[in-house]
Amino acid sequence: MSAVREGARQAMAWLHGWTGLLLGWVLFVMCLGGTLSVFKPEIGRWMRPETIATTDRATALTAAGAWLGKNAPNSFGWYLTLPNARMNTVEATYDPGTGFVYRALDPVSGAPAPRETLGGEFFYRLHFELQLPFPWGRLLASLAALVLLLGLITGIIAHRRIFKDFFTFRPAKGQRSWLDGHNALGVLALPFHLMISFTGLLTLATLNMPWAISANYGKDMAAMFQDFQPGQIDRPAMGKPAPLAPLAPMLAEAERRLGKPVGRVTVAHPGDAAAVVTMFRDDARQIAYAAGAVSFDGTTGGVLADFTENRPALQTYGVAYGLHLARFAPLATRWLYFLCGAMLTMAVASGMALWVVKRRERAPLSLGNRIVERLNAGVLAGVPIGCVAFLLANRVLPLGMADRASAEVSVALWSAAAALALGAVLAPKRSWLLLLTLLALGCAAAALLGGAFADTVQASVSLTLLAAAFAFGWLGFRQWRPRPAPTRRRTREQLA
Amino acid sequence: MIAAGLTLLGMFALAAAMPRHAPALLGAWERRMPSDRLRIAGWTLLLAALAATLAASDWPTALVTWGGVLPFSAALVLLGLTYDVRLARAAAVLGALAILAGLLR
Repeated sequence: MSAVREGARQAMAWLHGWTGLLLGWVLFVMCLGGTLSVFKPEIGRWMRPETIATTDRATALTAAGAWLGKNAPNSFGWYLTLPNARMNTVEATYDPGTGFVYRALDPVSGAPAPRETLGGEFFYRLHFELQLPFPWGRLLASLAALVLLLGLITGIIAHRRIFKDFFTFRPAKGQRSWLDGHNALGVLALPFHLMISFTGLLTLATLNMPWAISANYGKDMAAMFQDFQPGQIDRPAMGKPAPLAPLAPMLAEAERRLGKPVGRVTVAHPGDAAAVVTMFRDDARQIAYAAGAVSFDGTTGGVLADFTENRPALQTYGVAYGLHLARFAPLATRWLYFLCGAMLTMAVASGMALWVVKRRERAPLSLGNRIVERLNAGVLAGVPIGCVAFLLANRVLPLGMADRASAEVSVALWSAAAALALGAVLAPKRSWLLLLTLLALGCAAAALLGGAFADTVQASVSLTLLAAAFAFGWLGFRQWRPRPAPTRRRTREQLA
Repeated sequence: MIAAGLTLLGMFALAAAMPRHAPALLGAWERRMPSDRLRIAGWTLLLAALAATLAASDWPTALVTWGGVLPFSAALVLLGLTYDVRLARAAAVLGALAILAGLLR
C-alpha cells in the first residue's frame, strides 16, 4: 500500500467520522421515519381500527365529495387520495373554514374517521421535514441526505478490507464488533443505500437547486407548474356559486383516457362556477411516479385537458422519485425495502456508537465525547420511544378529544424529549438499560393494547411490534448482563 | 423466485470460497471444493440471478426486488457464520428449493 493511498484513506476516514458525527442523529431520525413510511398506509389502517369498510373508488369519491360539499364548501381546494388495495380510506386535505386540515374519510359515509390521527403520515413527514417548519426541515433533511451519500462513499474508501470482511461479524469483542457490525450493515446493502440516498436527494432537488428553474421561469412559478403538469388546469375563481357536477362519471372518463386507475383527485374552487376537477394516475404497479392527468370543468363535467407524460427527462425523474417512494412495490419487495431501511438505520446508529467506543478504548473520554455518549443513548433509544408513544397515544387518548391528531404528535415529541433528558442525566450504562426496557415494554403494550388482530393488515402491524419488543428486550437484557472485558488491542487476523 | 434461489446459493458459494469461512461452511467437503472454482461458481450464480431478473416479464420491479434479495441473502450467510452455521446451510438448501419451485411453476 503506497503512502499516498494510505493518506487518502485516512483523510476519507476523518471526513466520514466528522460529517457522520455532526449529522448522524438527524440521519438516524430520517432513516427510522423513512423505514416506517414504507408501511405508511398499513400503519394508517392500524391507527384507525374502527374504519374498516372497503368500497370501490367511485363510491368512496362520491361519498367524500358529498361530505366535503356540505362541510368544506368554501375551501380553496380539496386534495384527495383515493382508496386502493393497501388503504381503505380517502385521505383528504381541505379547509373547513379554520385553515387546512388532513383527515382520513370513511369510504362509505365520507365523514372523517372517528379516531382522528395523522396515522402513517406522521412518520412520512418526520422522514423529510423532521417536524420542523417549512423550509428549514426540508433543507436540513437535504443536507443530511448529502452527508449520507458522502458518508457512504467515504466509508467505502476508508474501509480497508471491504471484500475480505464481507461475511465477517465477530460479536462480544468491543470495538471490533462495533466496527464489523457497522461495516456489514453498510456494505451488505450498499446498492440499496446508494440508491435511496441519491433518489432521496433528487426528491428535494427543486428546493436545493432552484437556479435552473428561476433562470427559465423567473418568478412565474405558475407557468413552471403548468409545464411540469400540463394535464392540470389552473384558473381563477369567478366568485359565482355553481353546484359541482357528479364526480363518478368524471372518474370513469379519466380512467378510460389514462388507461390506468386514478390515484389522486384535486378539486379547485369547489362550489364556484370556475371549479376544476383534476384526476391523476395511480402510481401503483409501475415504478415511475404518477405522471398523467385529466382535468374536467367542475360544473359541466366536460374535459378541459388530458396529458400523459412522455418527455424523457421528466420520465427519468419520475422513475427516480418512484424508486424512492416504493409505492409500486408488491408486498415482498416492500418488506425488503423495510429490511434494507432498517439496516441503514442501524448502520447510522452503530456508527454513532462506534465514535464513542473507539475513543473510550484508547483513553478516558473527553468532556465532548462524554456528551456525545449521553446524547447517543437519548437519541438512539429516545426517538424510537417517541414513535412508540405516538402509537400508544393513538389507543389511549379519548376519541372525541379536541385536536386529537396534534395531541398524539405532542405525546410523541414530549416522550422523546423525556428520554433525551433521562439519557443526559443518567450514566450511559443505566440509561441504555432503562430506555431499552421502556422501548420494549412500549412496543409490547402497543401491540397488545392495539388488540387489532382481526384484519390481516392490522395483525401484521401488531405482530411486527411484538417482534420489535423482543428485539429491544434482548438488547436491554444484553445491557443488564455483565459484559466480558473488551479487548484492548486489535488483532489483525483471527483465523480459527 | 429462481433469481432469489440463485442469489442465496451464490452468496453461500462466495463465502465458502474464502479461506476463513470455508472450514465452517463446508466441513468435510472442504478439500473436494477448491476455492477458486467456488469463487467462479459464486459469481456465475449471481450473474445468472441478474439475468433471471432481467428476463422476467416485469423486469423493473424484479430488478429492484433483487437489490433487496442481495443483502438479505448475504445477511443470512453472515448470521449463520456468526451464530450457527446450520442457518447458512439451510439458506443454501432453501435457495436450491426455490430454484426447483421456480422451474416447476
